Amino acid sequence: MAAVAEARPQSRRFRDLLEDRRFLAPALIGPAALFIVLLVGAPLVLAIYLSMTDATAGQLTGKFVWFHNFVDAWHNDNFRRALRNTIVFTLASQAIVLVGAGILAHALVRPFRGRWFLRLLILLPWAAPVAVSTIGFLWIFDSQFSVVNWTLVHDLMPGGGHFYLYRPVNWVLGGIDHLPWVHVGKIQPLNPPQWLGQPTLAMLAIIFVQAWRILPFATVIFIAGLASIPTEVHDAAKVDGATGLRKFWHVTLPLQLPIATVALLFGIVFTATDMTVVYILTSGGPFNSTHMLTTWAYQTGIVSSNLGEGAAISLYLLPVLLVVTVLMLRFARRVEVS
Amino acid sequence: MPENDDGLEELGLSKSLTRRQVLRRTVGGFLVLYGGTLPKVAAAGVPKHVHRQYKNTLKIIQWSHFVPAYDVWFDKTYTKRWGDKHDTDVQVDHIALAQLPARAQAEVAAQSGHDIFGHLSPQAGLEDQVINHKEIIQEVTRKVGKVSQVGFKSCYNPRTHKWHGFPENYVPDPIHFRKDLWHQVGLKPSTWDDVRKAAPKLKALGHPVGLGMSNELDSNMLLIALMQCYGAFIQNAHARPSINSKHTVEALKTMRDIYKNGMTNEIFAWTAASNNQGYLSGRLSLAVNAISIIRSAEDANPALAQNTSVAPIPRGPVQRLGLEHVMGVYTIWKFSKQKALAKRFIADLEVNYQGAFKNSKFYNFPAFRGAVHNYTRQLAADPHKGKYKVLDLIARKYTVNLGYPGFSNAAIDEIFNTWLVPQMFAQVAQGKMTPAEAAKAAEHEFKPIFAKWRARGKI
Repeated sequence: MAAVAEARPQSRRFRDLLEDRRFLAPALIGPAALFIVLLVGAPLVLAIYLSMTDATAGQLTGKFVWFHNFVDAWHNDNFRRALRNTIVFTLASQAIVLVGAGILAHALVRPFRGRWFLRLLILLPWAAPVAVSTIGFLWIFDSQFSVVNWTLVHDLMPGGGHFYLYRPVNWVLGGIDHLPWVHVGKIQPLNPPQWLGQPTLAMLAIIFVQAWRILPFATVIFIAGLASIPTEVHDAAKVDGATGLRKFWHVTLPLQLPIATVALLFGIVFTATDMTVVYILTSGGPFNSTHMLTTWAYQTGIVSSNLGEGAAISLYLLPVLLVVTVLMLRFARRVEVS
Repeated sequence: MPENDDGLEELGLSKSLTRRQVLRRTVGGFLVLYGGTLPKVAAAGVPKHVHRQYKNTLKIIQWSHFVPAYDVWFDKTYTKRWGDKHDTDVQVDHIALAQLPARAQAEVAAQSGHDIFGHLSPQAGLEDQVINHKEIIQEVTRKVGKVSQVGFKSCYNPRTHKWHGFPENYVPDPIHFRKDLWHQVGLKPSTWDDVRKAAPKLKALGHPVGLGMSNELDSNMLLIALMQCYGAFIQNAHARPSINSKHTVEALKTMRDIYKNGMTNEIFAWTAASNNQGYLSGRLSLAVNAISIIRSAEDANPALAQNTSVAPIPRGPVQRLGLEHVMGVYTIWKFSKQKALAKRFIADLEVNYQGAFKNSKFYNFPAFRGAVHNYTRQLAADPHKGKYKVLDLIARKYTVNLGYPGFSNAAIDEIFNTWLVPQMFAQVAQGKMTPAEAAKAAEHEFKPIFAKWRARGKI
C-alpha cells in the first residue's frame, strides 16, 4: 500500500487532503471561527472586564469595582425606564413583524403578475441604509413640517371641498375614548400630534419604524419557509379535506414554525441591540423617556465618558438575550421537520 | 458515488463543480485579477503629488461651522498660509457637531487620529487623555492679555491644576424676537415675566414663542440660562450639587406657565435646528439661539431680518445671566506625535484671531478678548445697522461658563450630555411632576454623578 501511495503524484495527495473532512472542515470553518473570536469574542470579554472597572473615556483599564457599576445603573430611574422600553420596543415591534411577515409571505408566495416587482419593493426597507431611511422618517414625523400632520389637518379635497382627514380620525378616536382606562385625546388642527414629542407617540413611532425595517427580512425568511414545504404535504392535506384556516393551523403553521422561530430570534437580537432608529428619531427624548439600553449606554459610556458604567448598562441584556437564543434554538430543533 | 464522480471528472464529464475546482478557480481568478492590476500600477509608477511636499503633517478635526464661509477661510486660506510658513501640510476634517463627542472617544480609544481636536463644549471628562495646555495659555496671555473668565472656568480644573483644553472661542447666546409681533402685544421680552405675559397673546396670533425642552443643545443651554436668571444653579462654587432650591422651583414654574399658555408641544421634539427653522419660517415670535438665526435670515429673508431684534437674555427675578451658546475648545491628545506643532498652531490662531472673528461673521468671539483689536468697532460697522453691537454687551456681562458659579467639570459634562436639565423641565411642563418633585428628582440624579467624579479625583 505504501508503495502505491508513494507512486501517486504529489498533486493527487494534495487533492486527497482537500477532500479529507478532517482537514477540509477545520480549514473552511477556521477563518469564520477566528473572525468571531476576534471581532465578537474579544470585544465581549473586554466589555465584561470594563463593566467591572471604573474606566473612563479612552482607558481600557481601571480600578476594579466588581458589580458596583451594575448596582449604580440599577438605581438610576433613566436606566430602569430604558430597560423597560427595550423590552416593550422589542416585543411590540417583533409582534408586528411576525403578523405582518406571515400575511405578506402568504400573499407573495402565490404566483401573480408583477410578483417580483412587489417583492423588490417590500425588500427595499431592508436594503436601504438604516440611517438614511430613519432620517426620512425623522422628516415624516418632524415637529414642525411633518407630512403626516399636514395630511391630517389640511383640506384634501381639490377645489375647496373641505375634507379634513383629522375629522374622521377624531370620530374614531372619540369612540376609543369611550373604552374604560383609555384616553387617546383628539387631534387639534392648530396643535397637531407631536409624533416624537410625546412619550407614548414617540414610542409608537420608534416601534413602527423598527417594524418597518425588520419586516422585509422576516418576510423573505417566511417565504423561504413556505416554499420549502413539500407539495405532497399540501396535496395530502387537500385529500384529507383540510382547507383554509384549518389547513393553515394544522399543516402550514407547524411546518413554518421552525423557520419563523429563526426570523423571530434574529428580529429580537437585531431589535434589542439596535440604537440607530432611537438615536436618530428621538435621541432618547422627550425627557429621556424613549431611551433604550443601547442609547443610554452610549450616552453614559461614550458621550459622558463613563466607560465602565456604559459597558455595564450594555451588558444588562446579555443574559436575557443568551437565554432567548438558547431557548429558541432548542425550540427550533424540537419542531424541526425531518 | 465519489469514485464515479472522480472518473467522470478525469474524463472532463463532471456536471457540477467539486470543492477542489471551486477553490482552484477562485484562487486562479484572484491571481489573474491581481496580476492584471500589477502591470498597470508598475506603468503608472509612484503616485505623483501635484502639491508641494511638506516636511510635517498636522491633522485637525472640528465641526462644520454654522457659517460656511468660516470653513472656507479656515481650510483654504488660514491653514494653507500657516502650513506654508511652517513647512506643514495642515489637513482639516469637518464633521457634524452632534458627532464630535463620539468621534473624540473613538480617537482616544484607538489612541490615534487627529493632532488637534476642536470640541464645542469643555471636555473635562477627557482630562486624562489630553496634554496640559498651560503652555499655550501662557504664551497667548503674554501676547494678547488675559483669558476671559468664561474661558478660564471652562477649561481649567482647580482640583488637578490642569488646563484640560484651550479655550479658543465662545459664542454669545442672544434672544431673537419679531419686532412687529411683540409690538402688537405691547410688550418687549426684557424680563422672563414679560415673556410669560406675552406668550399667550403671541400664541393667539399664531406665533408662539419657541423655547425648547428637548434632548438637544439649544434646549439645554436655554434652560440652564433661565435657571441662572432665577438664581438657580446645577452646582455651587465648590462643585456641590445645588439644584434642589426654591430658585429652581420658581424657574420650573415660569417655564411651565410659558409652555401651557404660550407654546405648543412641538418643543419636546425639537432638534438643534428646530428653533432656527421655526423662526425662519416666520412662525415663532421668539427664539434663543446664537446669531445663526439672524445671519440665515439676512441671506434668505431680508424682510424677516429687518424685523428681528437681537437682545440679551431676559432678566429674571434675581439677575440677567446667560450661557455661552457653544464653547470652542481645542485639545491636543497625549498620543499626538506633533504636540509642538499643534501648540504652535493653536497659539498662532488665537493671537491672530481677527480673521476667525471676521470670517465667522462675529459668531466666534475670542476667548482672549485682546486677540481681536477693537472688536466693538467692528461690530458697530456691520452693514446691518449696528445690530450686532449688543453681542459685545452679552459677551462681557451676561455670558458665563457651563457649571457657573463653579468650574466646568466632568460631572457638569455628564449632566449636560444626558439631558437631565431638559428632562426636569419637560416633566414639569407635561404635568408628570410638580416643580418641587422635579427639583428633588434632579438632585437625586445629580448627587451620585458628582460623588462618582469626586471619587475619581476630578472635582
